[in-house]
Amino acid sequence: MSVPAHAQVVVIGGGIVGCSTAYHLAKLHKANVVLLEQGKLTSGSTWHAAGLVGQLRSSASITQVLKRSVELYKTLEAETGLATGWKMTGCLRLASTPDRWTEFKRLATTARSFGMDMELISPAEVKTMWPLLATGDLIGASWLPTDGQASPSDIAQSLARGARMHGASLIEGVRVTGFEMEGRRIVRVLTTDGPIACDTVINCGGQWAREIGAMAGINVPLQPVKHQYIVTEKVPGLSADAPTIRDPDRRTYFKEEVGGLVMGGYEPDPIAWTTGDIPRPFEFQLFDDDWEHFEQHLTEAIARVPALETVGVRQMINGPESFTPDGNFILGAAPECANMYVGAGFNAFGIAAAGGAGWALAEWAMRGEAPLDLWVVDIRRFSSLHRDRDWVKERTLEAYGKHYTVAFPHEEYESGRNRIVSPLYDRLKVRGAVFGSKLGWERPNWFAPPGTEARDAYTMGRQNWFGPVGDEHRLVREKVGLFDQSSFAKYEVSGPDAVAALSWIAANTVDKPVGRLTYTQMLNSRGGIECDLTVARLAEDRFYVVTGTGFRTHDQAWIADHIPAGADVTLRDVTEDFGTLVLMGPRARDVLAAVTTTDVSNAAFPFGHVRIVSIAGCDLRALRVTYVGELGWELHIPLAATGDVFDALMLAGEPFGLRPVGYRALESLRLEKGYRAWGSDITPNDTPFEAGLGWAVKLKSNTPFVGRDALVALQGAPLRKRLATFTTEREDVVLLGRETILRNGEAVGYLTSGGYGYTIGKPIGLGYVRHPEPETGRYELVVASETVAATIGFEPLYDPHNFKVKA
Amino acid sequence: MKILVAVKRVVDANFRVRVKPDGSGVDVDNAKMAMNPFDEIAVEEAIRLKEAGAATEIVVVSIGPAKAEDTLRQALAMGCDRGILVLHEGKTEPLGVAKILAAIAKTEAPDLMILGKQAIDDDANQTGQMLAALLGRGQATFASRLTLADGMATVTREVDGGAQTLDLPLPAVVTADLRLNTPRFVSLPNIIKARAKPLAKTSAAELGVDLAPRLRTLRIEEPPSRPAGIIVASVAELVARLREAAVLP
Repeated sequence: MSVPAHAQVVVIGGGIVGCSTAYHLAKLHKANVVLLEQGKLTSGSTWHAAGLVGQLRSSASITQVLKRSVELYKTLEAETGLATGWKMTGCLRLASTPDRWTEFKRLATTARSFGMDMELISPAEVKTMWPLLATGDLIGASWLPTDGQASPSDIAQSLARGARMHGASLIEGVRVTGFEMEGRRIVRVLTTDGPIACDTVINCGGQWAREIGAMAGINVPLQPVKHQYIVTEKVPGLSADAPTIRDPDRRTYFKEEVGGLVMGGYEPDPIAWTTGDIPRPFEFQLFDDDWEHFEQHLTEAIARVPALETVGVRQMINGPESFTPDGNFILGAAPECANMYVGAGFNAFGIAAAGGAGWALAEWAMRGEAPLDLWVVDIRRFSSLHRDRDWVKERTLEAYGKHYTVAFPHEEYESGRNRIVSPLYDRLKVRGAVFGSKLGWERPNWFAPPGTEARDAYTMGRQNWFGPVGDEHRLVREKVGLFDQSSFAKYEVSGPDAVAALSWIAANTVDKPVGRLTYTQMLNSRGGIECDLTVARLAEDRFYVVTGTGFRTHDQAWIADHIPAGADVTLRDVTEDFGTLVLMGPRARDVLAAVTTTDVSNAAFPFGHVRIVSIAGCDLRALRVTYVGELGWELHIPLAATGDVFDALMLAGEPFGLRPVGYRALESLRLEKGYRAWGSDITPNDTPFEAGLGWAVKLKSNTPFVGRDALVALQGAPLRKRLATFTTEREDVVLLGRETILRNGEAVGYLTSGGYGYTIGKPIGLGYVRHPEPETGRYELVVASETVAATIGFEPLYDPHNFKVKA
Repeated sequence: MKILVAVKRVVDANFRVRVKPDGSGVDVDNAKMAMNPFDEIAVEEAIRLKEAGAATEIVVVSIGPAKAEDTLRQALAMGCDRGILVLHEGKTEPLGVAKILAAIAKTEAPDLMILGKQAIDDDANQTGQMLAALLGRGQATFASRLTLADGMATVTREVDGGAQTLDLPLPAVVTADLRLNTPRFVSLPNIIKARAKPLAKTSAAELGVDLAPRLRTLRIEEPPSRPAGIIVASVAELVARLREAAVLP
């Protein structure tokens, strides 16, 4: 079969993800789809996947995507006539340490928040369900009855047939050799069988996705890792519908297969495969059995399933699986290219994800917009840092090694550091800074007081930084603190059409006089919040845009993608041009006045303005804005002068008690003030109305903007959900997010953020309430499977009238 | 009663080999490797003899690169007692291997040597025969049945047209055919135990054997690919087609 000269969409890769994407494109979008597979369908890594299908993830949206997979696998056979091997066996996760048990209590709460019934059961109940398990060391287990297992190749073949039934053309034995580009757009896919002109390319190339992407200039930061599992002979007494087992404390998993067991594990010392290109051909291919490496799992598996002592190993499967630096898959519109989408890097849950991910990818590619909040898997969460293959390998191996470790709250990665440091790194380090890393940047999380160890000690309850962060918090509330936020992403938008373009993209009014700031959201066509940022008008035709560190690639791409065609606008990333020091607290003006001759009085420099201020001989941009709810300024300093300005501020601030403070205090301060965080409190799933940000939308003006139509339609209608603040009376509760919100005993939502407010002296959570009368009723939160009384509020807990901010 | 078994690390039987473009050999750079299936049968037979009380010790030998240790460990996990790895990078030929095994047989003095009838990589089917000749011992190739009694081995061989049964005095060389037995799957505890079993490493030089190739490969070619078949609609058409092709009168 030779390739057609033209196709609307070319899907590259005939693994389960490519097949699912082609299926959804053909079925739901009636798209003219060609899928190209270099070898045979499934011959990359789908064919050797173990086939466990779990659904619960820490993100509600991803959980929804995985649930969608299960729905599809249940019904696909009826449609295509090809079985998927789906068996709803349920999944048991075993806990044998107290920390793990706490983790499971939180997990069960998360499941409830996301509408899934996860039970926590006793070792005796585990024994009844799975008599061959040794349960002596167990504290208990979580039980999710709706999880299961399936046959990866069968699902892929069934999806392939479904795609063909709906008109897609799936061609085997054709390899993509390059792309013909016009600017940032692919116009032709070049193959071993000739070129195909197309509108859209979807790269589902599995471990080849990186090479395929590179041919169009895009980066797909994944790393193939050697993952091993064994298949045993029949195990006497093993039931055909035995639940899948995940035994994270022993780093292993089990699944029944034709009377025997599939057993594999996630070792702390995984072995990466190549960081270069994948050797070709690599079709239905495995690596040598590596028993020496696998022995660690054998010992643990025998201890858990003693029957394994006497059965033989039929087969060892040692195959490459694509993993990523943060353990999540890679989906969406590549920022470097106008029309390539990616679905790859599935971290060994590709079978569980493919059904839903293919749906999401098809929607995304055909509508140009993700169908729901997919931020945690969005390819735009990466940056140029992720083009470094060795860095990606190191971080990916760490993530793989942590797959089954207890996930402590606030845990930081250790590998690949220090990668990017601000000019203040050494100055902060000597002051006791304990750093975290975000998109490669070392950022101070907190400062260890003299005499204490400058290191996070991870525990499931309050951690060692709780006290020092409280002191930092109070310093900002009562005196003045200095944050190094140099990692902020920064852009300049300039040109004759800059104001028109930004007015079209931003929901709030950015067409304000020069010198004014605007806090604004950028919305998708559903009115969901895609970006949350500050826009400063520097000149009639020049804007300075500041957003969160992690959103650098995402927000830039969002803006770039929505600049109207033909507009004369230049968008430039200037992140590394400026260091950012954020001076906050009631004495901030005193400190600033001591280092500059510029009038910084409230009258001369009111809230919501930007001015050029001179400090230590350096002209810098001062933005009067806050994310902590205090009087203060963001100082954006030409990078080389950041150290001098820091020194000047610290010297001048000494009489006022100024000290550097970190990101954990920033978090507690913003929670207390009710400021929303994009990615958790406000996401593409949430409208400004729901988020309580209706005031920041220019509906009253007649200016059209992206998302306006959706908001107009929603205006005045009852809200589906509403963001609220919660506090608990019990002061020792640890809130982390995803705790279930109960109203009169009924689940009505979950926390999107959780933490502690040191000034109000209470745990705080933010979360959406899905109820027509959120103001009434008796509220409780389910925290780690325990119900605690809570109070709901719709105003900031701290300074609701902004007296502090506007002082 | 000591048995010596030889095992070879070869390309996995499931791997689809490809001839290198220059015809100089087969591309196995990324191939999964495994124990030669006929050698697995040889190992299994030795273990069964030991389990039946007919043997007391099984020594397993491999000649190959450092990774051949994995193959020896597998034989040890199946039930062999100790291993000898003759480290050698590069190609081996039947005569060289036979000389190595003969050298080892001289020090180990086994009562029985069981080899696979051939390795699936080169299909030479020569090593067992050469080993018997070098040692001046009897040989029974293509064994499908093997029993030991009173210093004699009774071997049923698969030959053209039927089975031939031989008695031969020990020590002797036997090469295993497919139907001799079905090798066991190893159990998990045995995989772990195998890691602690003794494994000696030596080299051809230490054994005084020259492994330099004596054969020259002229060219390797893929077998001609089979032309595509046709689907016929009926038995009548099938018969007609077969007549056309002069398969049927």
